[in-house]
Amino acid sequence: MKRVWMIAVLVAAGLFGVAGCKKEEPRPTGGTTGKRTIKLGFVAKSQDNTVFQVAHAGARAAAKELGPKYNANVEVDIRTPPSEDAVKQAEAIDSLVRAGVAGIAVACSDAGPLTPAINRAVDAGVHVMCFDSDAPASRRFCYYGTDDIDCGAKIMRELAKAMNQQGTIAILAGNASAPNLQARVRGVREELKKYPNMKELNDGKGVFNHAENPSDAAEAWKTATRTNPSIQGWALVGGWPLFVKGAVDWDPARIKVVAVDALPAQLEYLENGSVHMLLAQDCYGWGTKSVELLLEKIVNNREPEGRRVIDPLKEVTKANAREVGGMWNKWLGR
Amino acid sequence: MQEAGLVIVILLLSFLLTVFGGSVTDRAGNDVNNFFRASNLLGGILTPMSTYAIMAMGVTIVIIAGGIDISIGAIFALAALGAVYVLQHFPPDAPAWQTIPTGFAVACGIGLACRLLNGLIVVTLRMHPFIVTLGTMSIFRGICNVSVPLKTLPAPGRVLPDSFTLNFLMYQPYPGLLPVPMLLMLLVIAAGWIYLHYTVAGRQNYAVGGNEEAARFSGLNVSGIKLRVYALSGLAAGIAGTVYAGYYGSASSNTGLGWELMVIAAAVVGGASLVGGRGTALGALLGTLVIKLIENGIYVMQYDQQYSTIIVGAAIILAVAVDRLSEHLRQKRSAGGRA
Repeated sequence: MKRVWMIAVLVAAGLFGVAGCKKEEPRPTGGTTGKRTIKLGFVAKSQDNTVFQVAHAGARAAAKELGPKYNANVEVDIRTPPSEDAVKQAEAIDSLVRAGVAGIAVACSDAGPLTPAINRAVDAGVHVMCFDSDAPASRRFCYYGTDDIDCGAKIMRELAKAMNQQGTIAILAGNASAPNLQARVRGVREELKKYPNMKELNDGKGVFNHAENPSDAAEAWKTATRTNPSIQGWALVGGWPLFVKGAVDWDPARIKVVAVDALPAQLEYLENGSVHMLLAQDCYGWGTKSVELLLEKIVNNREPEGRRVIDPLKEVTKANAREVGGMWNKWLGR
Repeated sequence: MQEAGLVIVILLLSFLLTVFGGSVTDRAGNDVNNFFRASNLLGGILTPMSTYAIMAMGVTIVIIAGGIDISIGAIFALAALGAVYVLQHFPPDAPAWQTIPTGFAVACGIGLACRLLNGLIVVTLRMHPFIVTLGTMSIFRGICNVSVPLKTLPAPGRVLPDSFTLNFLMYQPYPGLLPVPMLLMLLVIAAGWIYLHYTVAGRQNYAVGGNEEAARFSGLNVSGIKLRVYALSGLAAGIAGTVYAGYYGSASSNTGLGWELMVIAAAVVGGASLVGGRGTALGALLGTLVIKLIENGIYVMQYDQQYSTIIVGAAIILAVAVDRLSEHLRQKRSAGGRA
């Protein structure tokens, strides 16, 4: 009995302690007179990824800015799991529905477990959209983000230019079960067929997967490069290894790299010549545009044509790296 | 009843969350308690905890017999993938009498085979179960990865039959309430309770876990008992895999990644002693419930979810530390009594 009382005290102390530490979002305040309150849920893939931290900032900013336009107090409840976990995302969607939100934006770590949760939310009258990574078989009303096949093709086109259309390439592909990354790999491979003097490492087995965190990605990338000296070009369908310092320990002139995303840490690799080009996704826009699309649906019952809003990738080279760096400082409030 | 304390913990936590969780406005415009309402208690706690509790039951049986199983998450994933792989070949409108038994049979068969392999290695090579299950965890997870090229099932263009998903494990008599996983969990816990308390085989677990040598000298077939224990744990992983496959309508090579720690934690918080000989079926259920209540509390109180791992981790360490301390005090008292 002593034991359980001690557990109870600890748990209670923990809950109260945390209450004193931090709350993610303020409680509903009731709002300004005459304005309705619209609660939205936002579930990105993980809190430990800078691109989603920026998406959170975008969602919060959009809620503040777009409220007057829609004559509403817009509140965003962010329920992104600490690390990638599709089951936790599904639980977050269920809990947001119970909390009475009017709309949810979700970036799917794995469309499989999330599709039933999205459909349950839609059945309960909640408008759901996907951003960054889609659940196309679900009943979400739209998707905002990159056209992943096109993204893969663009990576390959830029890589081919950098390699003078000849040589052996490999693909660093992150989480093997993420549908958006699988599509990007397909895009790279389709485009590669257009270059007769280029080929994928190991006759079509040149895809390397890894856990989607920077240190594992950098380690997997370095190991693959070290053990495959014939690689002359890398197509990084996500930018993970470039989020840490020291990921490139080879001669940049020997191996060309084109990667997705253009985070501040990645820009350094661009400036020192280790990376040829970065293709920036609109991470801030994942937040702002998602909130806007949800509000349009909730308030005006409007949804985008074709149910897919494609965010064009921004080419980032040495020439505009500083400009992009300045945008990040603004987004992250530095 | 040794679980009375856990019940008190759960009641205390529930009370705190009811009082401090505030209220929300539901879609009908009514203010309702954020924590204490059917949709949260059933849909937010009991249903999502089902797979964990079923696996915790299996792990508790292993721990009682003095073993440990850290491959349970990987076996669970393999079982779920197996069930989805087979069921995706059925027509979407296949009848329940075909799909439900097939799903359970495939997943339980995989779970049983994997755990018997673990058990055979432990028994025949006399290796420590921690090392064996550490190795097999990696092997089984690797099989999940290499056997599914797209890493997720069902394959594009295929779906699981409605009789297994929407009309069974995703069945919603009321919006947001999915009772079938919870009912299966209660069935498994009830079966575990009967096995551990009312069968000779169950009592033999305690004998082996309490003192393996003594059990051997008293004529028990220790190797056979250990094999049986691992087989039952595999069965639990298979049932949990089936529940997952039907509830989420899919499985991937990452399914259950890292869940073994949560499951072992639930067993330990529920009173299973890592040195063997102690633990109950009800404890496995209540241990899981405590952890899930904490996680749900994080949602209800709108805290940053990152704090949940700190609180759960602290609760586990405290549970084990207090367990060791109370054991030490008990031994001291009994030594004092003899003097």
